[in-house]
Amino acid sequence: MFPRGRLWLLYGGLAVWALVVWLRLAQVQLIDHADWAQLASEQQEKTVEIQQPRGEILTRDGRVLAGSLERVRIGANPRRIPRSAWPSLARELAPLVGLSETEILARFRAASNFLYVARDLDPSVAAAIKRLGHDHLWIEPTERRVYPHGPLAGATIGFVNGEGAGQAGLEAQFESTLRGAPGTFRLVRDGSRKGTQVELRPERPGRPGLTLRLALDSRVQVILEQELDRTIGEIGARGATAVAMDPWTGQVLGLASLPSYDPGRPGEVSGEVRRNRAIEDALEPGSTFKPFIFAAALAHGVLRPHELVDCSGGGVQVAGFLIRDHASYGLLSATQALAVSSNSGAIRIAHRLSPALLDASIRSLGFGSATGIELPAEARGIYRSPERWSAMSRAGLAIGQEISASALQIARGYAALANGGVLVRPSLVLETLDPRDRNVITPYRQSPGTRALPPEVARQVAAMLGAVVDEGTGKAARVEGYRAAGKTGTAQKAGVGGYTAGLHAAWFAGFLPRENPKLVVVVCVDQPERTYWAADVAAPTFGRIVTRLVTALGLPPVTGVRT
Amino acid sequence: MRVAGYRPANAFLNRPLDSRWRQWFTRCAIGALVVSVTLGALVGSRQEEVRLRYEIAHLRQDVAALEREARLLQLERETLASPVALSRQLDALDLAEVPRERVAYLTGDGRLMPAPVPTPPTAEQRAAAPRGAR
Repeated sequence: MFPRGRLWLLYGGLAVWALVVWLRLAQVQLIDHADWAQLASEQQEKTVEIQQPRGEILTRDGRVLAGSLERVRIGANPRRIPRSAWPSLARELAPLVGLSETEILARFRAASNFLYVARDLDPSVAAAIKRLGHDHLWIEPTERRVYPHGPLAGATIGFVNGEGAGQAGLEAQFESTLRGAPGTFRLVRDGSRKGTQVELRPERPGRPGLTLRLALDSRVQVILEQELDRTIGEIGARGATAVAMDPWTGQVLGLASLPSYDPGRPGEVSGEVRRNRAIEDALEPGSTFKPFIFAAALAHGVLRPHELVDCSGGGVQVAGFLIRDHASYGLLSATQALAVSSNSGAIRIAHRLSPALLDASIRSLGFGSATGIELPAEARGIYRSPERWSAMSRAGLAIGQEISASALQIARGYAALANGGVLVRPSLVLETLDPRDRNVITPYRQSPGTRALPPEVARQVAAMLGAVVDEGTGKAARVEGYRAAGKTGTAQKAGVGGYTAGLHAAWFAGFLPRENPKLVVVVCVDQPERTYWAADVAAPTFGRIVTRLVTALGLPPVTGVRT
Repeated sequence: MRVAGYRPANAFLNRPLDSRWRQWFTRCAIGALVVSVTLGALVGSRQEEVRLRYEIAHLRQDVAALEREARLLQLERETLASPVALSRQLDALDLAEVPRERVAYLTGDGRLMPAPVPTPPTAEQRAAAPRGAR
């Protein structure tokens, strides 16, 4: 038999050993639990930040104006790689990154420390590079911004820099919306402390960039740009802009600025080309401003639509200066005076208003203040308060001088004439969408407009603008089957110390159908060359644009309207 | 069982040989089985979980790659179908613009109305027309 004493000794020894083990277990599991868990986590896991994809920019008809592709870039620090290993590394990398061994070796030699061996690579390359097992190469996820339609609406979309941050246009204005927020994840690492893809545990959920759905219609935008391009090609010009807007909501259906550029290659053009002329360039509106003077006079009861206005004399003397007219028209009704764009008539009407009333009317139509469109660098235009007016100022304003406005500001003013007198806020972005399922995140909300003119006055001026197209300076803007309304404007361009001879801006601003306007279109050709008269440059462009727009947008013609 | 004729003096060695080895063997076997089943239950399920995680991770990678490809294809389609690009390649693609006279509106009462045409004034009209002021 086994001696009982020794047996108990053995039992006791085992019990003490078990007790020590249990105590140590208790210490590790209960007392020092947090420290050990932290240590284990540091050894087995790693926090990684994953940038979420940048949001897309869509037109209202669903075309993708800007999208993003996931890419990777390969970084290395050649100083930490033995020089003898460079050739073999270059040999392995070359076919993967699309560079020659010589090029890679040259980059290694030129780098003082860190360098990106290759950028803008397909993510599938990353897996192949990981398989090479080189610890001194690292892979960074990145994105490439793609603009599938090239220069279409280029100045409006804007562009991003090398790090993917918006630098101009909508890309800059909606940077935080489009960029989203990066998410952090816990990545499980293997025994050699390399990350495995076993588990990516979300620590802080990221938010992918939201998709912007614009009010811009791709068809409208194409038509605006093609027709402006044709005008520049036929007549020659420094640039041209066009705006198409829904007069009731202020939604901007098209915003063209030529010359345009491809936002994917912004470095190839100068800042002059990248400028969005439709909102950043403020020019004197010339005679396109006259309808606002007529509206102010009608609104304040100093003019009636059929009242005869003195347009005689071939000009009018103001503060010792003669402001010429195109002809001596004699007595004309207000409608006829606007139709022939009489300077004398407009100046005499403006002088019926006190500076304060004229100023209030001009300001109520949004001149001198930015429209608030969702784009950076919008020009407010130049408009001085009455305290700084000279004796010539009312006359100047009557013919669209001493004031400058962007094409968008003019479009907003004409929208007020078209919609019954309400000044709407132009909007370019309809809504933001969830990038995964395109559900609406931020629905469209129309900004409330402000009443700028009594409805009756807006109707009367709209009718006058109809006469401009039917029998006045705007005949070239006519479209068979439709009743358009609008006004030409030929403005001399101001330079240092006065107007610059030979430099003009040709405008046409109008809307259609006259009875229930659906579209406001403004065309401005900057420094036209072969001819500069708005009736020959901007009005025909307007005519061609609306001819195509009514077909594209399905606006039915009015029976029996022939021009 | 005793070994006949063997009588060691050392009491420590004076120990009957275990005749119940089958019982010990059975107990050990049962013990090993219990340990195996317990470990199998614990480790096996954990292994299954790890295997599933690997599979999920691979599937996620596949989904991400497919989504990437879908995005690429969508953007390529946009590029190829861009009106700007198409209008430059009408001849190459054997496309033709639809003539204006072939476009018409169908009115509510079933009549076809011709598409609009711009009607700029004639040269004479233009010469006679007043121009916009400066």
